[in-house]
Amino acid sequence: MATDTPAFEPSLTDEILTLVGVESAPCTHEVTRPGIRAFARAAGYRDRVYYHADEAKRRGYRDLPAPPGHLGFPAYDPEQSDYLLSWPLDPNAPVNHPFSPVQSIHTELLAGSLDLEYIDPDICAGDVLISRTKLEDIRERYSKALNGPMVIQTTATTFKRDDAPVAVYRFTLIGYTPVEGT
Amino acid sequence: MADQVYFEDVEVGAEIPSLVKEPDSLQLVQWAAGSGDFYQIHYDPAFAKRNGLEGPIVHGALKHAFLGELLHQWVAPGGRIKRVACSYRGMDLPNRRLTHKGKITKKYQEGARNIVELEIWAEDANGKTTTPGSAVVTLPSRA
Repeated sequence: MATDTPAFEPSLTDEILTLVGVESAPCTHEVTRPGIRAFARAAGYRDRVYYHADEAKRRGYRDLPAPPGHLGFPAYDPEQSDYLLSWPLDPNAPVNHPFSPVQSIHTELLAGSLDLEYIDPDICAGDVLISRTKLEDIRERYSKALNGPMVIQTTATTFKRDDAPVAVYRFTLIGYTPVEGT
Repeated sequence: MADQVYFEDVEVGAEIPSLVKEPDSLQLVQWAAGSGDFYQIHYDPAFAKRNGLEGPIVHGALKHAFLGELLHQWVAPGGRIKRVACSYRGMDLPNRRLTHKGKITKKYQEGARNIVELEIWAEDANGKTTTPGSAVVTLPSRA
């Protein structure tokens, strides 16, 4: 069958493909009142429940609830953390966090999709969550929009509180190399 | 905030109240700090252009958060969000209107929980859907 998709040299090696199923080291996330307020303010939330602990408790929460999408901040360490994205980054580890590519042939990254499922939606200030990120899938195809090949990786990051899962953050990351003239 | 929505009062096919946003460069900088994502394609025009983009683009996670707010405004105070998912099919630029919408696709009870599933999406000022998605929420009962 005829196709207008240009041919390209695949970049995914067998070694990379064997990383599907591999899990990262654990990462600690602190859910704090200032962090919740900053996230809610940045998104533009007006609901006082994200800013005033008294209002949150009046509405049945233990403390300020984390807005949808907020799962605390990784505890930043200038020696170990990703400079741009705050998560721990070990250059020698095969899988680090949802936003780090497991291979680096492409120079730039875009978000492809985000699917956040809560097992316990009442995550509140004061909680400490532990996450681990697992590579679920990685594939490569030609992108007309990016005018070149792109690598699409999907990770699932499970967040636990007191060893019980509270949320799964499934993220698709797209790696590409800019083409001049596009 | 609107009055509480109850499980018995919602119907499959109905749309929920929409949410309009127009994120500007200030909000993108606030989001970088509020989310911990300091990738330069979201606030540095020269960097974004070097990467083949028209200019800085709105963070995908910010659009996800807008959809979360759409749902929160509908289910609060008594409901809860169980799942928010979206795909980034089109890049959105700052200073342009984004309208977030949702439509009920399914409602059912599971044990004591009243569950509602929705199709959700963000569309740009031309009415093009740039960020389609789906969601699951729980609502309180009048019973």
